[in-house]
Amino acid sequence: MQVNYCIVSIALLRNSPYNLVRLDLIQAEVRAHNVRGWSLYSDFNTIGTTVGTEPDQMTLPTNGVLSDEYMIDVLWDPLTYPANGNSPITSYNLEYDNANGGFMWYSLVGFHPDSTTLTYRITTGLVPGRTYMFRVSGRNAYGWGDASSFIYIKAATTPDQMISPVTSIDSATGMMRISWISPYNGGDTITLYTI
Amino acid sequence: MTCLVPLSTLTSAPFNYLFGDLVLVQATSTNNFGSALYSVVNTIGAEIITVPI
Repeated sequence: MQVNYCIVSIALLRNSPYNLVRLDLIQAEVRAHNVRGWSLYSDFNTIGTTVGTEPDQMTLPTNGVLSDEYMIDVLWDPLTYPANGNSPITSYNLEYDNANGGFMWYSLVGFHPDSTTLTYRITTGLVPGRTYMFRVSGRNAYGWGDASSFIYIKAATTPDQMISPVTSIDSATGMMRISWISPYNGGDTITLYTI
Repeated sequence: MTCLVPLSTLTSAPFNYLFGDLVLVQATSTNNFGSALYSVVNTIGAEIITVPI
């Protein structure tokens, strides 16, 4: 018995006239020909390969707890079946805009070479106080899925601990004068002092 | 930065400072990412005074 085969592009099957969609069973029948003519067709297969597609759009990445004014920690959820397009994810591409307002996007990890990590930390080049945009997309054997919506992450953290306030009696009013020095704001505007 | 507090506030509840007491103060600041640790409490500074009798 000889096993013969042919290779058909999944993209071909997804287009007219087949119009198969993700998870559709790919069914085939076959017949043979010799000098006396064609055989009958075989039955269609009832099990076998199902159609795969590019992955779905990914959900929004999130800001990790380790982020501060000099490091941004980004995390994202994996694409699982069937959102993975019915095909294993081979890479996640995390992009950021380097604080240019989304004008241009730069790959941080996963575009080349492949990477299936679910977290990434930027530790160089950040400017405290600037806001960066991030988005992520997944790829499988059929290509890249749409990028997620973007998340804004500001390179900032809580203010530094203050030094002790100074107290004195205000000679003009007789009231207690409490004076303090503003601490380093952590890259974000101080909105409240609590004395 | 400065704030002024009437001594009457400090000698009333809940502070209840008495004449000659050192007024203890600590401070913290807050931004959109949270609050800092409180400062260390002062060990020197103004004491409670009262008007002459």
